[in-house]
Amino acid sequence: MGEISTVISDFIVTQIMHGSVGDKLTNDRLLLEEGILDSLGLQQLITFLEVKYNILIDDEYLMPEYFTSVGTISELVQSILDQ
Amino acid sequence: MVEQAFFFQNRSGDHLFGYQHIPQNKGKTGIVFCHPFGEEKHRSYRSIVEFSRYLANNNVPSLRFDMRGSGDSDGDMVEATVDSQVEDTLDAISLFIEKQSLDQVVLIGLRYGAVIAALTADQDTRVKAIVLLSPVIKGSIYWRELLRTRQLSSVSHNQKATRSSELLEELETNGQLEIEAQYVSQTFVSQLQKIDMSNHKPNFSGDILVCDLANDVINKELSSKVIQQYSGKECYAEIYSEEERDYWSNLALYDQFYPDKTFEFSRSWLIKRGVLN
Amino acid sequence: MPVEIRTTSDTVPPTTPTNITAPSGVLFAQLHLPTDNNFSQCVIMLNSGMMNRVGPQRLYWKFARQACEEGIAVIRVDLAGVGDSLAEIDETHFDNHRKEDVSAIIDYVREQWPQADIILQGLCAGARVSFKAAIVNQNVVGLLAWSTEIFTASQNMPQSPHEPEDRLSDYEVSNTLSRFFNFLIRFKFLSPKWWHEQYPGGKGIKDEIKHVAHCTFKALRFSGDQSKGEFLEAADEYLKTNRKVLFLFGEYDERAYSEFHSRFPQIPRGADLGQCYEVVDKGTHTFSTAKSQHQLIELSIDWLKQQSSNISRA
Repeated sequence: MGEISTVISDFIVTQIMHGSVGDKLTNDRLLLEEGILDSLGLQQLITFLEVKYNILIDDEYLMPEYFTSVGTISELVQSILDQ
Repeated sequence: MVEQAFFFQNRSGDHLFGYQHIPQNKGKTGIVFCHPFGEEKHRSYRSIVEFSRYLANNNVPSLRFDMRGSGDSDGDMVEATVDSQVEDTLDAISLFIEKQSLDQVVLIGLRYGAVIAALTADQDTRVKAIVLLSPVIKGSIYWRELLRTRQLSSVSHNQKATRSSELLEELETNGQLEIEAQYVSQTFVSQLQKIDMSNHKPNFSGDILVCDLANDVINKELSSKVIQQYSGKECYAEIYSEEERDYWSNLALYDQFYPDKTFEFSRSWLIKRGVLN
Repeated sequence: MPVEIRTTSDTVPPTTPTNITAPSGVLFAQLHLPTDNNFSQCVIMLNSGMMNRVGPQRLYWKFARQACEEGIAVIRVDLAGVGDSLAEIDETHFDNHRKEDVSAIIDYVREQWPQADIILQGLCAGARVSFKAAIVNQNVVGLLAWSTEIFTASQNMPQSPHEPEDRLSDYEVSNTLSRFFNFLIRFKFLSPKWWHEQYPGGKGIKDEIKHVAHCTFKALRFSGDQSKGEFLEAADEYLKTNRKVLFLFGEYDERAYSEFHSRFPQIPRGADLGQCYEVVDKGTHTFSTAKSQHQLIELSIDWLKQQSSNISRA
C-alpha cells in the first residue's frame, strides 16, 4: 500500500497543489476538510486512479470517508484491487 | 493585425459573440474554433486566444465564437443541444467566409468542441480540414464525467454523493439537470450519449488531424479508432501526440499553459497538407 | 492596437464590447447598460484570478444580466493577461492583477457616466485587487467582495509573491495543532512503519516539527491575526473610511470566512449594513451551484439598491 500512497500523494501534489514531485503530503492530512481536494480535484483523482489501476470506482464508493486522506484513498484502491 | 469583437445573429435570431483575428496578408482559408463544454471552455480560454494570435501573426485569420448558452452569447445552457451547437457553428462559418471573403475554413475543436467540429464538417463542404485537440470521443464517457462532477461536489463538502441513478431520474422527471451551476436538457444528454467518434461514419472529405496529450492513455487508444474511421479515399487522417500538459483542467486556474508545440505542429501540418499557404 | 468593435445584428445585442487603455495595455470589457441611460450605479467586475470576464460557471455574466435588468450598469473586464485583453502580464500567480489597471477602468467609467456611483466587485483575487485600487481611488463608493482570500498560502493556491513569505492564520494554527494532537493520542509515533510511510528517509520531519512549533508559539501568544501585507493594509485602510463593503462567503468555504472572521472581527454579519458580511447557504468558493449563485446575486443586488438609496438620502 506504500506504493499506492506515494502515487496518490504525488498526483495530488503535482496536479492539484501545484507542487513538485518530492514535495510532501503526509498520509494523514485531511484532504476534504482542509480544502485540498474540491469536486474537480476529486474527479481528476478518481479518473486518474481508474486508469492507472484499471479499476472502477463505483457510486457506492463516492463517500467522503473514503477520500478523507491519502491513507483512506489508498485503502479504497487496495480493497477494490483485492476484489 | 486587427482584432474585432462583435455580435452576430444565428438562424434563430440569438446574438452570438464572436472575436476575429485578421492579419494584414490573409489568405483564402480561415480557422473557426469550436470551444469545449462548460468550465473546460472557461479554463482553456486564454490558451485558445493565444493560439488565435499565433495564427494571425503567421497570416492565418481566425474566428472564435461563443455558442448559444455559453460565454457572452444569448441564452442559457439549457437551451443548447448538440444539434443547435452544430447549427451555430455552421452559421459562424457562413458569417466568417462572407465577412473575410474566404473560400474555405478549417475547424479546430478542443475537447467537446472537437465533436462539434467533426459533426459540423460532415454537413459543410466549405470545411477542408479539421483539427481535433484532445477530443471527447465517446459521449457516454464524457457524460459520466460530467455527472460525476455533480456527485463529487457533495463529497467535497463531506456529504454522501447522490447516486447517479437518482440524478438520471431527476433528469427524466424535470427534463433538465444541474451541472456546474447550469442546466443541461435531456435532449442534450440524449444526443451527447449517442456520440461515439470511434464508430462514427463520417460524411467528410478532407484532412483530419487528431492531437492528443502523450500521457492520455485512454484517448490515445480511442483516437486510433477515430483515425481508422476517417482514413480512406475521401480523407487523409493523422494522429499527433505531444508531451505537453493539459490546459483545461484545475491547473489552468492558477497556471496558464500554452501548448506551443501543438499549435506549431497543427499549423505546419495544415501547410504541409496544402490547406494553408 | 485597439480592438475594433462591430455588430452585424439587426437588433440590439445584449452587451457592448469595448476597449479600455490601461498602464498594462489594452483591456477588453463587456458593458451591460440599462435602458435608462441615467443610471446611478455602475459595478466594475474584476476577474477571479486568471479566469475571464464571464466568471466561474458564468457567474459574472448572470449577475450582470440581472443587475442590468434592475437598472444597475455593469462592466465586466478582462484584466491584463486574462480573456481577450491585448495586455499581457509576466506574473502568472493569481494575485497578479494591477491596481493601476483598475484605476484606468475607474477613470473610463467616470468619463463615460459621470453620474454613476462606482462599485468594484471581485471574487477571490479580484476582491483583493479591488481593495488595493479603492484606497487610491476615492471615487469608489463601495466594494462587493466575494470569497475574499485573506491569506494566500492556503492549501491548493499558489503563494502570492506580493505577500510576506511567512503567513499563518489562526485557522491554519488550529488545523495544525488538531492534527498534532490527533497524532499524539493515536500513538502513531510508536509505529516505525508509520514513520517510514510518512517520512521516507526522514525527509520532511524537520519542516513538520518547525511548523508545529511555530503554530504552538502563535497559539500561546493569543495575539490574534495581526498579519500585514499589501492587501491586508489596503483592507484595513479602506475599512477605516465610511465607504461601503459587503463581504460574501460560501458556507462551505470555511477556511476563507474563518480567516476573514479572525482577521476582521469588527465586521458584523447582516447584509443591510454599510460594512458587513454575509454567508451564502451551501456556497463554495466559486458558488458552483445554481441555488448559491442565485442567493449570492440576490444579496449583492439588494445591498447595492439599499446603498444607493442611503447615498441619495445622505
